[in-house]
Amino acid sequence: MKKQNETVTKSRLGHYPVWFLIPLGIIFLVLYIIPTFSSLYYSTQRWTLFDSTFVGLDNFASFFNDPFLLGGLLNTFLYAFLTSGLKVVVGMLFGVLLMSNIKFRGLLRNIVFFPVLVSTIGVGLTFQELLRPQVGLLHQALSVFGIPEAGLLGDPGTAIFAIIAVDVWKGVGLATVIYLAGMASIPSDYYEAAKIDGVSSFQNFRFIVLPLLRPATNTVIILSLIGGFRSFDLIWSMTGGGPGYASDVLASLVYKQYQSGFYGLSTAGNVVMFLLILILVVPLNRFLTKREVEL
Amino acid sequence: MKLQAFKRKALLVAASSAVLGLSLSAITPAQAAPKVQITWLVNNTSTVTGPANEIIKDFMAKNKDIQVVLTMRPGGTDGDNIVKTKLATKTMDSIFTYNTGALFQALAPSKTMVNLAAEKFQSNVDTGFKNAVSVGKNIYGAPFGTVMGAGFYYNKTLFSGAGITSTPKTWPAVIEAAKALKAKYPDVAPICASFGSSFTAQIYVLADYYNVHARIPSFTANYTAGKAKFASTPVALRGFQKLAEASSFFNSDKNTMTRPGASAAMSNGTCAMYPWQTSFNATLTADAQARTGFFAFPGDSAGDYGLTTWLSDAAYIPTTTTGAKLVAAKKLVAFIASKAGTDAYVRANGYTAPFLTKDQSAAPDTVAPAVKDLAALLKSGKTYPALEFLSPVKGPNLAAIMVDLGNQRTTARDAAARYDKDVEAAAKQLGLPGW
Repeated sequence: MKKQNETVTKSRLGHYPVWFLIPLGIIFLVLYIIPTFSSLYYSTQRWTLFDSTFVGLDNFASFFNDPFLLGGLLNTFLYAFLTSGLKVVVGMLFGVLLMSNIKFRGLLRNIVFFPVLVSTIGVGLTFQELLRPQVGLLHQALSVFGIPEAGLLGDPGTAIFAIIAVDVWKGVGLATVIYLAGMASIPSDYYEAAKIDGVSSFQNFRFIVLPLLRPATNTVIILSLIGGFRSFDLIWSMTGGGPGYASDVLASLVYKQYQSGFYGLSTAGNVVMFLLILILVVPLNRFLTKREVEL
Repeated sequence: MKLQAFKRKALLVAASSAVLGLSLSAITPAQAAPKVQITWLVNNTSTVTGPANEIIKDFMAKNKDIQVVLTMRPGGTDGDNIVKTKLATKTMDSIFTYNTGALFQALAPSKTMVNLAAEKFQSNVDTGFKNAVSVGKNIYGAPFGTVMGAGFYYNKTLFSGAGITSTPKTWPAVIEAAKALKAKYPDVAPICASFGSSFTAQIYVLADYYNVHARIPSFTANYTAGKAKFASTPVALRGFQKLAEASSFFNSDKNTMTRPGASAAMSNGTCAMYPWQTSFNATLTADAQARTGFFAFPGDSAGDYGLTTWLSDAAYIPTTTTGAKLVAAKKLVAFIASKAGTDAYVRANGYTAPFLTKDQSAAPDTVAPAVKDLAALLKSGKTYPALEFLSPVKGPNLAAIMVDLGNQRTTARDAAARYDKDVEAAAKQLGLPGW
């Protein structure tokens, strides 16, 4: 009898017995599950950190009635999709370049990846100085091509795009590394077969590399999209969501509410952000992985 | 044998290190009684850290058993954030300085601060100030700094060069002056804005309050009760409209210029006018101060000309300071509010305006022109406190809303409506009745 039970337990949960999973289960419960539910709880309270009163869905109503929410949402979508798209394209191009036999390939790979390792706040503050009107090095260099006199970060119309550019500069290294790993895992049989058939390098790329890179592409899309939706550090350190509300995204709007002392409202905003990302990314992930090709 | 030899060696080492230790302790001088160390959290602008350091120097000279360490935080909304978070997580320094009035109320003082009503120094403090740092009968702060007004600092040389003969006393006169300056000096910004320090954008609404009160004395009470709104009260809406009207004369780098940047611009003449509080004069160079004047934030007609005033910041003690540190902290707070404290303050910033205590430093005979202008305004009696000292509710997002308006991305009425919503949220958060 005992033997039968043991087999049932093992096969249901994989290779490990149940008690093996309990430590991780506790960590997951305390650090992930409980905070999620406490967030849901506090989002229905008017919370002063010292006491709280129940207000039902008032916080959510206030959040959706925020006149700056629409602009913030638009900026969030713009930021997420633009950074994701650019990282996919530029990352793949770098991947192809750094896979080929060029001189200093190792050094170039390190250089491309280096910005990923640097502190986001450090990058934000550095670029804020570089883009300072009149005195910033980058501002002076770009003035040749014609940029607003107020600076890229000082002009409400261009601020978010400047931040997007810096975000891509910082994050493309990670996409590149993922693509390099993806390309390395393509069996050379395909290339040899293609060579025998006499395909051009462009056809090689389009019909062999690209489809077989789909798992890598999906990873890059999902990771950069989620990161883009959640992005806060870079925006806050470069413009603080400014000028005014011009470069605000959901995360910085929520932070501004927290700064104002509206703790319940900002928790509600966080819940909304969580649900939004969930609703957008889960179906997308399912759609993308369905089309993956098994190597 | 080996073990015995080892034991002997170990004993020898132990004995010699003991002798060494004893002799070293004989060499070092007798330790003084341990000092009580307290920390003081201040805003990191030079007009605050300068006086704070002078006060600490004088205080430690008089109290050799106390050591005060100055710690700093940013100003603006980041500063509000830090102060609120430190109080909430009970990690606040031994004493800290912060605004008075509505901003003080937002810190939940009866829960977070030590009641100083029974302290001896309170007899030296002005009653008007006490009101701004009390909840009921409990007084929580001591005055740090001077009375302030708010208005326009202007470059007298540029004004006379542009043919402006009289100091503007109405808002239309300010616009006329700006136009004349733009015509005569195309490379100079007639009015500077420093949205890089976003909290400075609020001045157009906050400094206009004298003019609002002059027309509608009942606005304060109705506003606190939730009945009067900025968007629907034409006189109150003027502050927002004035920013919109001034925005066409702003400097091109308005969104990246900080408040210290504005000091530099006013000092080197690339800025003709800059509206801000009267703590600004001390940040200008001596040469610039000699040619910079000050006029109050004007209303729409000459009869309305008066000054909106700010009470100084205050030093508070959080409830987390206890025991010997609390005794030391109370001594420091008493020192700050005494004449010795104001003397140290004047040594750092120069004399700018009266303090909020009865016994205080005397005004010197020669002062900068802007200081003279301010003194004349204060003497005239045509002054009224800013709204945040008369009402416990102030919307925390006014700065960002004003920056938006200053960039002409919205209309004055929309900005005012947004601020009304912000005030409503703040009032509900405070649990005020009737909202």
